Amino acid sequence: MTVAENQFENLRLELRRGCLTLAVLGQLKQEHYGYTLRKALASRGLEIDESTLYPLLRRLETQGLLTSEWREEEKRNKRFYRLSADGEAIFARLLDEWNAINAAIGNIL
Amino acid sequence: MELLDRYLEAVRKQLPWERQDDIIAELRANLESQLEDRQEEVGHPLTPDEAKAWVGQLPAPRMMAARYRPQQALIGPALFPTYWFIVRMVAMWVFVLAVIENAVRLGTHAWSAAAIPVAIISVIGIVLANVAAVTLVFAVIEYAGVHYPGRFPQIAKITGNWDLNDLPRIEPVKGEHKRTFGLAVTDAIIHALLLVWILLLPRYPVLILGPGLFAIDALPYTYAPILADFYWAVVIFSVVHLVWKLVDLYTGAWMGERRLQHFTVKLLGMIPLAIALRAPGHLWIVLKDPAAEFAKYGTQLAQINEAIYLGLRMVLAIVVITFVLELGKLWLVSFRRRVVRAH
Repeated sequence: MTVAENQFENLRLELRRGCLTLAVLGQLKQEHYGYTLRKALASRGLEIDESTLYPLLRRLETQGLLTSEWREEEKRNKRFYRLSADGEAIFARLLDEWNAINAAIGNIL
Repeated sequence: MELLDRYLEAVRKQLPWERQDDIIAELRANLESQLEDRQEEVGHPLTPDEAKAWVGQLPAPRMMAARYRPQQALIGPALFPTYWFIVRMVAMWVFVLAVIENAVRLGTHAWSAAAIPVAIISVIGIVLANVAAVTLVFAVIEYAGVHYPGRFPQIAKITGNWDLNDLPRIEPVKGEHKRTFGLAVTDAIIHALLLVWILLLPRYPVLILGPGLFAIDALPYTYAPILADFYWAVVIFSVVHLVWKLVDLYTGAWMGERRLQHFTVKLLGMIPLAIALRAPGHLWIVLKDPAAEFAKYGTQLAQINEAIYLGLRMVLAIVVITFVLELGKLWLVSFRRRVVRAH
C-alpha cells in the first residue's frame, strides 16, 4: 500500500466511524441479531467488517443505547438487539446532527 | 466445523476472561449463520479448501478480540496532551539537575575516565525512572477516569482547564528584535563603571568588603599570589567586553542579535575561573606569618581553601553546563529553521 493509499484508508475509516454508529442505531429500530443486522446493512449498501460490527453492538449496549436478549431461533441461541428508549432519543439527536452536517457539506461543495 | 472452532478458540484466548463465554457464544451464532449462507450459495457443505478460504477471509483473531476490549490506550487522547507536556518538563528538569549533580560529583571526587560512562548511565537511568513514574501516574488517572467516571468527575476537567496567564509570550522574530540606542549606551556605561570599580579594588578594597575589611585585616590570613592572576584575568575580560560594546555602538552592530558576542563573552568568562582553579596546592588564602601561626590556624586554613576549591569547581561546572545547553538550544533552533525551510 502506498503512502497516499494508506492516508486515504485512514481518512476513510475516520469518516465511516461515526456513520456506522448512526446506521446501526437506525437499523436496530427493528430487532436483529448480529449476522442479520450485517446482512441488512450490506443490502442497503453499507458493508461492515465482523470485527467492527459485533464489538460495536456490545459497546452500544454497554452505553445503554441498545437492549439485548438471548433467544432460540432455528435451533440456535442468538443474541437479539433492539434500540432502547435512551437509544431512540440519542438516535434522533444524532440524526439531526447528521442532517445538519450533510446540508453543510452540500452547501460547501 | 473444526476450523471455525479453532478460530473461535484463538479469539477466546485474547478476550477478557469474565466475558469470554458470552462473546464467543454470540460470535459462534453469527458465524455459523454466515457459514450456512455460504453453504447455500455453493449448494453443498464446504470442502476443506473452501472452508480454509472462508475462515481465512474472517478478521484476524487478535483484531477481533482487541475490538471487544474497552480500553486500548494506556493514556487516552483526552489526557495525552497534558501527559506529554508534563513528561517533557519532568524529563528536561530531571536531566538538567542530574547532569549538574553528576558534574559536581565528578569535580569533587577523584576524577577518572571510567567515571564518565557511569555518570552518563546514571543520568539516563534517573531520567527514565522519572518518566516511568509520571507515565504510571497518568495511566492510573486514565484508568480511574475511564472505569469510574462518576466517582472521579474532576479527572474529566483536567484537560479542559486552562489559564490565560499560562499562554506563552511571543518571542520577537529575527528582524523585529527591538533594542533602543539608549539601552545600548546605558549598557556600555554600566560596563564602564563596573570596570572602574574593578580597577579601584586593589587600592580601595573597602569597595568590595565594606566594613568587614577591618575585621578581615585583623585575621591572620592574606591572599595567595594566584588571586592577582585571577584579578588581572577579570580586568582583561572586562576591558575586552567593554571595547566590544563600544565598537558595536560605533559601527551600529548594537542593533543586531549579537549571538557571537554572547557566546564569546561566556567562553572568555570561563578563563578567570580556570586560572583560579590552577592555584598551586589549591591555596587561595595563606597565612600572613606561616612560621608563627601555622600550628594554630593550619587546620582552619585548610578548611577555608577546601571550601573555595569546591565552590570554584561548582561554579565552573554550572557555567560550562549552561554554556553547552545554550549552544544546544541554538543548534536546535537553527535545525528547526532548516527543516521548516526545506519543507
